[in-house]
Amino acid sequence: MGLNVKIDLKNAYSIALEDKQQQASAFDTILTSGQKVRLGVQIAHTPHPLIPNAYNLVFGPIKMNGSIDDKARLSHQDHSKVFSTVLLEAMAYLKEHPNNYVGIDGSNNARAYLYYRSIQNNFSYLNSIFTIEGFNYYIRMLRQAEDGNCDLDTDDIITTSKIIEANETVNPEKLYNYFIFSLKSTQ
Amino acid sequence: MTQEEFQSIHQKAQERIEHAKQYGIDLKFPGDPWENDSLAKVIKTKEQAEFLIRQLEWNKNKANKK
Repeated sequence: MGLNVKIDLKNAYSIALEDKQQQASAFDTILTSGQKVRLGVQIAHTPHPLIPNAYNLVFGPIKMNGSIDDKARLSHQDHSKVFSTVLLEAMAYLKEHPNNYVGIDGSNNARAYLYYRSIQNNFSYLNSIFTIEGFNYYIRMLRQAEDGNCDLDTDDIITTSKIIEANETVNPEKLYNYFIFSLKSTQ
Repeated sequence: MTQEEFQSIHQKAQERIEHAKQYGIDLKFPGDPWENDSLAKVIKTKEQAEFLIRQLEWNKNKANKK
């Protein structure tokens, strides 16, 4: 799944009728089982508490309370169209807010790898539109005890960012933890 | 990507913006998606944030100069 995602922002699902009470942009997708599922894409009003122009994007099935389950694992009939729809939403947002960044959390290794491979497999296309940066988190290891466990200094985490480039080699242990998109200047 | 394709993608995004505006939505929604987000968990001090912001701006400027 997912590793053969082909992004085409002109081939995106239609966003369902909206109103001001809606909590996310919504669209319907079909699972491989044939079941129709409504997905939501949400870029919230609230920026990162300390990074004033960074906004988080989440997507996934819409729960009964209107929130989005961004940890769900679904098998879509057309993953490419799902991802294209999500990225078109991010692009539209960034056109309206060109000084902002939109971030996507690679919340676990599987997701981080899926996002990274999808970016690499569509690099030329995406790189024409977005600047995409990958974040790595590093934590300080204090000392190793005799039993092999070690203390970690969770108050001293370093975050580094790097522009993702074509065909770069990233070792699994250094897979990006977080991805952030900004819109390339059109001039 | 050809200039024509580039323009048509931007046009598609612009249509999406106009569609949302019809319903009074600027593509931002209520909620707190940072609640469970890793970036909110690791960037906890002003110094960490300032360091990252400088990197982001530097990278963005570098990319736009290419």
